[in-house]
Formats: sequence, structure tokens, C-alpha cells
Amino acid sequence: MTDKIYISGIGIISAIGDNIDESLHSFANYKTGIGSTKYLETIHKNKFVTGEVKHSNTELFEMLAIPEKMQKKYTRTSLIGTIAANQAVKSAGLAQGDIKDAALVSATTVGGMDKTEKVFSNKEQASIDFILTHRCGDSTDRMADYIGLSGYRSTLSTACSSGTNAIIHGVRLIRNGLADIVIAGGADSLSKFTLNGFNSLMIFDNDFCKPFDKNRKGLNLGEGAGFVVLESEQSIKKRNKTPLCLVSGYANANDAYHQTASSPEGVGATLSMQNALKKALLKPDEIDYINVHGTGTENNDLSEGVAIKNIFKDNIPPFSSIKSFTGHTLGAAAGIEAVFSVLSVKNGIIYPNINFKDPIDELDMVPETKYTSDNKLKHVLSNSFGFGGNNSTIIFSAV
Amino acid sequence: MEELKEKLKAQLIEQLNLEDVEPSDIESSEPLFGDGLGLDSIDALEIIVLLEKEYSIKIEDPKKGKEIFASIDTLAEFITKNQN
Amino acid sequence: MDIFINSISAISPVDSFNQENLLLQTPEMVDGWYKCIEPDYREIIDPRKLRRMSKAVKMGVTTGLKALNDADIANPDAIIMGTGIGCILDTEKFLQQLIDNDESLLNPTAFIQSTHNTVAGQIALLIGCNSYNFTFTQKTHSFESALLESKMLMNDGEANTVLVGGIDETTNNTVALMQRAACAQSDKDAGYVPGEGSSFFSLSNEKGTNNIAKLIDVSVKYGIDTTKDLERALQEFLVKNGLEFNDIDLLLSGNNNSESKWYNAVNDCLSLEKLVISYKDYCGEYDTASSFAMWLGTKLIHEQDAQKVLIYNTDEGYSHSFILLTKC
Repeated sequence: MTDKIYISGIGIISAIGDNIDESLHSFANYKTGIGSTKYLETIHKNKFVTGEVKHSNTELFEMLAIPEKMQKKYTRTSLIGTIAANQAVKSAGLAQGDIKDAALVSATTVGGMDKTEKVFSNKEQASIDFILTHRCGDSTDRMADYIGLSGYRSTLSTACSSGTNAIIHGVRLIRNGLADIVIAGGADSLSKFTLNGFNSLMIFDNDFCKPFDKNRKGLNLGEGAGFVVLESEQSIKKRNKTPLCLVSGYANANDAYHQTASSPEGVGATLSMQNALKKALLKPDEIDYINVHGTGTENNDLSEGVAIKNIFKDNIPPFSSIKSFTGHTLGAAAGIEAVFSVLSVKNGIIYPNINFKDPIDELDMVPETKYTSDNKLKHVLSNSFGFGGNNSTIIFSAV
Repeated sequence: MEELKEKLKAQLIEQLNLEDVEPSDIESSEPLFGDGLGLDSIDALEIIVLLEKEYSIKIEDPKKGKEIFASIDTLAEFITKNQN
Repeated sequence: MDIFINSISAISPVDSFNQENLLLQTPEMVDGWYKCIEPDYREIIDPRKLRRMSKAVKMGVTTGLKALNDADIANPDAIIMGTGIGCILDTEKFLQQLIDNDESLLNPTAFIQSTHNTVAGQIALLIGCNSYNFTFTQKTHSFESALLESKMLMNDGEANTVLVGGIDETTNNTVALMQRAACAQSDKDAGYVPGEGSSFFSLSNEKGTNNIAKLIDVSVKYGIDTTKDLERALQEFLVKNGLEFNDIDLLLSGNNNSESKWYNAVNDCLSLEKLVISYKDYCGEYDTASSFAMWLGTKLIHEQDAQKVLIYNTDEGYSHSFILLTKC
């Protein structure tokens, strides 16, 4: 890639913390955010552990100081999305004028579903506002309005790879001269819809998920939001900012195997990693760390492992999944993992893949289980895969 | 048993929305998955729901479905064995 | 870079799918909205694969495959889609079941099919396409985002052929809810007729005998406070593409009888002799209705004498979109 696209800001909220510092503290202390379900109203409360953001909506409104008369426009997804996007904007030190002209690309799978559920349980009396918050794009509009952005915006919804695809769309907006600054990432809150949906697919681990472990039983759902600020070289110079890292490569490919399952040969995943490396002009042995998709389902981890072997052969770099900390946050997952990958490049952090004991027989791959920082990580690769065979890879590199 | 098999065929056609398939088109011994009727893993999940709904039989591990749902014969046998 | 449209296919409330030549008739209103006239899908898709597909998926797969077939493309370099509300039929089905059965004994199929990227994923699955696969969902400019991504992907040298489409299905329940919301906001009748549809296009960056129109540009604007700002934004968009107001000879307006000052302002910019078609008279109001407008615009360029076509749509002033098409 010739045009340089920088990352100048990051923001996050998830089960392991309301911001970067709290999140890193959780990792360093091996403290998972997954636990009993407190805020989501569901009959499965005591059956499944989840990675909830540890706040009620009332508390989230307070964190953003949203006046009461405006509150009806927000869903839990738009609330946590706004918190993360706002943090990212602040961390990049953007002035009001920069934000106004910036673009925003978000990602979500169900958007305002938490409110839609309320509409459906009482259609006649349903609040008008909850009807209007249903469409995924509405959460993106709320974030834009809150941070004072009046430029282009859009939303990707390609299941669990959505967040990376949002960043890719953002990078293109800069490359094609349509924006200098793009805030990109994803947000998804827990809903009865997704909890029951994944339950109907029978892919939950009723206990804590164990990514890349031989005895993995499935995933735990989570919620959260993660956003990065993408910026052109010209804008970085103009603002006299020191960027956090570069986006050096990215790709999306389709597995074209099955509606929900990944192919045993990892066709789509192999292609997306291969093409991202090509775009970054990097050889596999130049990748220092992989933030794997690693959901903890039997199918994903095996297929992803095969794909990693296809690319890296016997020379697999250190890798780990953070999903045993945050849970699988669906449309937000890749946004959240982008933020943590940026921190890997910036501070040399390798995250521990907790709950791992024994390697998968077919793979014999052992993830990193210790938290370490100050490693020299020049190039970090992050995978995100979703339903519909959607596979995405993004590579972050030191400046 | 034969009655149960016929009932199962009708239920599968309805639940899995098998357009253009008649109960008489399904051979009780033929494989439901792969080459036979061509069902897949999503159908297996649907059959699990059907068993719980219609026959009050719960299957916790979807992997077990493979053997149980091999054919109408095996499915009928499983239901008979596990009911009550 | 020049981007050409090589084929189009649409299922809409007017009988667009089987039409050889353009013949626009006012669609029939059923239950207060314009339903799509659907073809016999079994002639197009293997009935065994059809069994799980909801209306949106059937419409999307059918028009997507036809657009590829008509452009003689077996495997495009990208499949890019826009949908405002996604697969709402299966979403409602799963949600209703969840409430009725109190979160137990739920059928997984509706959940799987409710995902926004079901249509793009199904097309890839059916033709074995391993390439780029994106689905955008940004309310009334979901299709514009898909078009923009297609254009940028080609500019970035990552694709020579793209299958791009816009799709939204609706239901009596969604119509009732949206109408209620619209009425509550404006204190009167919604004024418009809801609709639905699926329109797909094969794009290519290669000039050839099979080009039927040219996609010049697409743009979405926010933060426009006055009609003066809108005029300025439109002028900038045209100037950027080497055109003036007077050059446009056909306006496809998203006006949906809501007496909007925005649509009037765009009409006034372009001189009165120019032809204006309110395309939602034919497809109804839905999030990706501008993809139907692009189908119509391409058809009018290819089969009739339109030279330079502007498509304008607005979400009651919150966002504004322009799409520009010309003869090759």
C-alpha cells in the first residue's frame, strides 16, 4: 500500500472496562468480564454467562450527560457506541471543526434490537421512538449527532466481521479523497434476539468459553463498542500529531461454503489473510502477533487454525483470542479487537488467551496465555469472521 | 411404528419446508442427510426443536443428532425408545 | 476512472423483472402498500435451495443472478449490497416466536436468515464466489454506500467487475409501525405509499459493446440546513463532474407526495423544461428505493433518449443523496 493511513485515536467500552486503562488492567490481572447476566432481561439469566458492559442504561446516560428528553432516541447499542466513539475522538485530540467534517463508519448486527423487542411485546402501545431506533443506521446517526459530526456516515452489517469492514470502508474514503479523518469501528449490545438466536444454533458454552482449546464447547456472548480514528498523512501533519500506528493491509473474502459454518479447509480465512499480507507488502514471517477471531466454537477455531497453518506453515507467530475476556461482541468484535491490536503495536502487548489448557488435536497450536508488554511487535494481524462466509483481515503496523 | 414413521415424514416436510416432496417420496431407510434427502446441519437443529416440541425429547448435544437422524427408521426407533 | 453499467435486473411493484421494454404502470395497492410482482422462483433457483429463503433473499438472489447472467459474468470481483431494514420478515418471525414461546423452542432458520448480509452471502454461496462481499445498512442511503464502495474499490484497483444491489422487503406489520411513527412525527397522514424491491447491476471498468450506461458519481450529504445549502451542494456535485444544472435532461426525484421543500428546491435548480419523474410513484417509499431509480434511469438511457440523469433522494432533509448516470 502506498498511501499512508494512520490511526490517531482509540476508544472502547466492553465487559472488561469503560475505557483503555480499565481494559488493560483487566488483561494484566487475568480478570475476565464474563459472568452471570445482570442487565439483560431474559429467562436464560441463570443458564448462560455473558460479557455485559457493567452499567445499566441509566448509568450510561449519566456517563454521556444526555438530557432526559433526548434519552428516548437512544438504544443500548447507540449508547455504548457513542461512549467509545467519543473517547476515540478525544484520544485523537480532534478539534470541533475536524470532527464536523469527519466521516463516521460504524458496524452493528442488530442495532436497536433491545428496543424493538419492547415494541413487539406490545405493538399497539409501543413508543414511536423505539420504532424509529430499529434500523442499524440509526445508532450511527446518534453517535454522529452526539460528537458533532455532520459529514458522511455509514454502517456495515456483515455479521461478526462487520467492524473490520467498517474500517476498510473508512480507509477507502480517505484513499479516495472523500475524507481526511474517519472514525470507524463497531457497536453491539446484548439482546434477547441474539442470545436466543445463538442458543437456537446450540453453539453456547454454558461455562466460560475456551478459545483454541481441545475441549472447547462454544462461545459466550458479549457486548461493547470499539472505535479507531483513521487519518490521512496530510491531516496528521497539519494537526502536528504523533499517530499510534498505521493501517498497512486489509482484505475481505468469502468462504462460499455454508450459511453459518466455516469450511474445513479455511478457504475464505486463508484468502483474507493472504490478500491482506499482499496489500501490506509483507511476508508471513514479518507478522509478529495475531489477534485471532477465536470464538471458542468447535468449527471456528479449527477452521481458523487450518487457515493460519496454510499461511504461516511451521512458523506461526504468537497468537491469542481475547474473547474469553470480552465474550463475542458480534458486530463490535472487530472494532474492539482493532483497538487492542493498535495497543499491541504501540505498547508491545500480547493478551492472554485464558481458559486454554490443551491444544486441538488436529492443529497442535498453543496460544499465548501470559500477559506481556514491551514486546517488539512491528506488524499485528487481526482476523474477524462472520455468518454468510464473511472473512476479514486487517494488519496494523508500527509507524 | 409404521404410523410414527409416516407422521415423522409429514412433520419433516412441513418443518423443513421441503417443497415438492411427498411423504411417499421418502424411503424410511434412506439417509436423510448428504446424498439422500440432502438435509444439512441447520436441518439437524430444526429436527432437535421438532423432537422437543412434538415428542418432549431433549437432545443437548447436537453432535449426537448425526446417528439419531440418519434415517426415518433410526429416528422412529429413537423416539419409541425415549418416550416416557 | 470510467465505470460502466453492463446489465440491470429488478423485481419491483411494477412488473420490472420480465419486461423487455420499459412500460411503467401505476402499481396496485394491497393492504395500503405496493407489493412486488414476483416471478416464479422455481424456474430460476433450485427448489431445494429455495426452501429456506424468505422473500428478500429470493428477490435478491434472483435479480443478482440475472444481472450477472445478462452481463456474462460467472464470478464477479465483488458483491456489494445495501439494505435499510434487512431481512425484516425473518427478523419479525423470530422475534414474534421469541415472545410467543417465552424464549424457548425457537427455530434457528429464521434467526440465521435474519442477518443483514444473508442476500450477499447466498449469492456468493450459490455461484461459489470467494471474492469481496460487503453489506451496508444506513437507512435511506444504504444503496448509495454500496455504490460508493463499488466505485472506490474499482478506483483502488481491487476489482474490475462488481455486482451491486439495493434490496428491502416489507411486511404489513412494519408498514403499520412505520406509518404510525411517520404520522406521530408530522401530525398528519404519512402521505406516501410504502413499497419494496430488489435492483441489481453489473458494473465494469472496461469499455465495450455491452455497456448500457455510465455511472458517473454518487454522493451523500449531511448537515444541510437550508435549501440554499442544498442548491450549493448539488452545484458542487455537478461541477466536480464537469456539468452544470442545464446539462441534466432527466431528474428522477424521490418526492413521495410529502410536499417537501427539498424536492421543490432541486426541481427549481434544473430548468422547467427538463423531465421530472417521481420514481416512488412506481416502487413506493422504501430505504433502497434509489436503486429502483437507478434501474429506471439506466433503462431510460439505454432504451430511450435520456442523456444525463440525476437521481435525488432525501430523508426529510436529514440526509441528501445524488446519483449521476449518463449515456456511454
